[in-house]
Amino acid sequence: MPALKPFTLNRIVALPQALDALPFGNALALRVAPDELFIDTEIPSDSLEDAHAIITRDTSLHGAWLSAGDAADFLIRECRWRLPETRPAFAQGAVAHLPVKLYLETTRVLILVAAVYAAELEPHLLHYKDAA
Amino acid sequence: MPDTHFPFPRFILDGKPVDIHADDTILSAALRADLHPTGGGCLCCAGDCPHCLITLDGVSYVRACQTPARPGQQVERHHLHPYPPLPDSQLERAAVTARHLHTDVVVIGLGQAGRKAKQEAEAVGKRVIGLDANAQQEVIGIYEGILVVARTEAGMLHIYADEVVVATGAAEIQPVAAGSDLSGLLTARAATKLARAGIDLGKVVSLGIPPDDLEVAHLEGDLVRFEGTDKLEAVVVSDSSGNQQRVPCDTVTLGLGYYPRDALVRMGHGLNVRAVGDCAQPGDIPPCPTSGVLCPCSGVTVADMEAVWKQGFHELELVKRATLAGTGTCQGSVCLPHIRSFLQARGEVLQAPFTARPMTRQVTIGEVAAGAALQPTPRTALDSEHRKLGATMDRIGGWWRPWNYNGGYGTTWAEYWAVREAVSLGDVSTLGKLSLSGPDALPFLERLYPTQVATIKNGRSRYALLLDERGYVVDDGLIARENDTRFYLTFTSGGSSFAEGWLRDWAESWGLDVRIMNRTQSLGAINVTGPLATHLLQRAGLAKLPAFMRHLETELAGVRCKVFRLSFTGEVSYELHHSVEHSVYLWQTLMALGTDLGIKAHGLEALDMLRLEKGHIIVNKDTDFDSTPRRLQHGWLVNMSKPDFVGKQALSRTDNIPLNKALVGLEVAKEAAPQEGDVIYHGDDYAGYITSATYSPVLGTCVMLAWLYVFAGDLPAAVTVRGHSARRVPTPFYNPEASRARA
Repeated sequence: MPALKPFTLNRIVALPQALDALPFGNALALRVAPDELFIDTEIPSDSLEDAHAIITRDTSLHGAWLSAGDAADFLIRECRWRLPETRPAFAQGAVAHLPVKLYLETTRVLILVAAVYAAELEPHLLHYKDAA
Repeated sequence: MPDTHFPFPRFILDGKPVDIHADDTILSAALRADLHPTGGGCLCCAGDCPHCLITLDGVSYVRACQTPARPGQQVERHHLHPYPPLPDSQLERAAVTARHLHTDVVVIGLGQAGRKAKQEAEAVGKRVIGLDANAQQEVIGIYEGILVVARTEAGMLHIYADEVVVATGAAEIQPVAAGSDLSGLLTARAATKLARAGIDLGKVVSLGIPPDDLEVAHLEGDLVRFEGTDKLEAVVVSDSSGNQQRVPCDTVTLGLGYYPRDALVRMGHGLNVRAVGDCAQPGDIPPCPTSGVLCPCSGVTVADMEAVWKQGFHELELVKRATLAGTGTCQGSVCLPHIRSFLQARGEVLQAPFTARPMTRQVTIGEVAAGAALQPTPRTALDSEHRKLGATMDRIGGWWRPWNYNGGYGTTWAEYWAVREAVSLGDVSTLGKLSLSGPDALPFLERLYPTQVATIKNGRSRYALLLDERGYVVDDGLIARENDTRFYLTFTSGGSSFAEGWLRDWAESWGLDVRIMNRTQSLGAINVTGPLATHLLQRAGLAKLPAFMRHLETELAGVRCKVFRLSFTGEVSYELHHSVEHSVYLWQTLMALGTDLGIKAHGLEALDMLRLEKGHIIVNKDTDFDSTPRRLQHGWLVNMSKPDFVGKQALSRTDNIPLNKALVGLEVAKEAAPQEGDVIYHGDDYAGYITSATYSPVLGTCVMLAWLYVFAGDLPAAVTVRGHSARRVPTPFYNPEASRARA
């Protein structure tokens, strides 16, 4: 079973246009709301065009990588909504009845869940392998 | 080496082995052994009628004609009436899985019309999923969405589609006549199938359309009745002059016409569901039945129909409800054409078929529950620490929380006294926590809260109520000011989602420039409380201590924390808000440092007693849906001189209405043992009810918060609780001057 590990990300709440203007590059950037972003790189506060942005280091998400095949098998059972077809893609919604964030690449999928629900998600991942 | 004694694989039917031939269904194998599944009734071999229902491996209402025969199956037969016995409740079954698919088109039924519809859809580039009952893919319902639910051998399919094409064909009309519950009756298609399977049908005669590929003696005339005892012995027909002819036979095949299998089409009324092929046709209506069983599933006879007609039930939907005809296993496949014929013969109008709703077949509870799950309950980062300490965990406020640690300490009083006399840790990570920032942060909070916010200085906190537009309390918590444009807000456990939505809605509607971050799950929080709390934190390296209702950011045991000085328990208390990955380390460090101080953890059971002794309310426990600050006797938290705040307009009206009830403190002797929900009496009159109650060891009495009604313009000074006299007292009950909390 892939262990759900803490993902340390920078979490930003800022004006949507300020987030739009950020240069993401190759960073893992998860735009969870128009005014909220999780990103795995440092964002210097002066690069954000919002003096009142709230930027925190966040460890509340736990996640695991699954191979695309394992993810397809998992999601067909646990996800009722239609997944995006483009890759890479970010999607979020109820998976296994839990609030989950998905980052879908061509060969693997990152499954992220709030740490408070990690114990509820783990039994659903028993039969899969870590694809990190 | 084949076993010459047992050349065929076998399943067990009613405790006896039955041979399985190639391609056998359970029905064909049973009939070859001369065993009719339900003892009688016309067989269709198409899944339309209830006459082949069996119990298979403990699951009832399985259609033998649709189920492949396999070695090892345990099959039981039952008559249609009474119902089969309930399965053995000790049987363990694996959970049924559900798979969720998305497509453009679902085609149900892959006969000629269905295959054509599938090809046409694929030709224009649509993604198509085809399902066929003959491949053990049985659609049991079409729901709004469109959601098509099918049962397969591999579990349930939940298919979300834009369009559904139903191509389920037509069923053969079954006979309704005296003796139609005998065995030996087959539809024409059933006769062909069973003959091909090598079943010996004996002497066969046919009525109506003859079966394919089968030599039969064809009878002309109208069906009068079937004769026999359990098994068919003869069929009686009449000619146009009424002359009857009795024909001895073993089997009669009936080709009485076709009726569309359109239940799924009717189910999809109003959705993008259409029928093609035979199921789109109106179907044949048989002659009006005169005797016999009309609805075999529910045991409704023609005589029953005549009786309800005489009582005035003339509409199809009402006849269905009055007789239960059409509500059984086959959902009208057998009886609906006959019911319509019966009503048309009397009412002269062919009424439309009745409404169809999911599910078309019996399903097991496991199949219904496929893909379902219990409401998930979040856990704090300290969950494992609580369990290690012997906590009794429970779902409280939407979280797994420790109710008490009796498994470790033996009694809740140990936790209580640790707070009152030593030091104790409580996990308050479940508190709602929001960060608010922006140039309009202060005016926003002034408009949101009834309390004055501008006078909260940087580094200070204030307890506040959150009101809705009607002035009713919906939450409470702290407003902590970090600087001129940044605040940190707390809310009740389980209230953070509401609070975030509430704040965002108001910020948007007022057009105010603020940022809101919900940090409830990102930050842990540990409450350190008791007379030795300060001493413990100093051991952990807390150099600078915040004064009462102040906060600061500092390092504690190497962990960056926002430290609040406040009190819910009535003792010296600090809340340590920190990044959640440090919770376990911080908790374990403090527990280790406090060993010689008598440190213990406390759960919600102890906390409830402690806060009640201080008269602190818990929103949604002590408050009701219409609790204004005035009714709660918390008017001191409202500043009506503010220009505006959410709820002000309502309060300015309701504050002028005489008070009819209030939340008060009551005290009663220990022997009364009051409980939450107990009724309060003023004389013989109902006077209110208790919201919270506890025995207070420090006071030697029971204390309560209660809703108390006003009598003759005043709140009674004395009332009766559980037959004991209770007196109204001011709160806090314990240490009202708050000297211990502010020490």
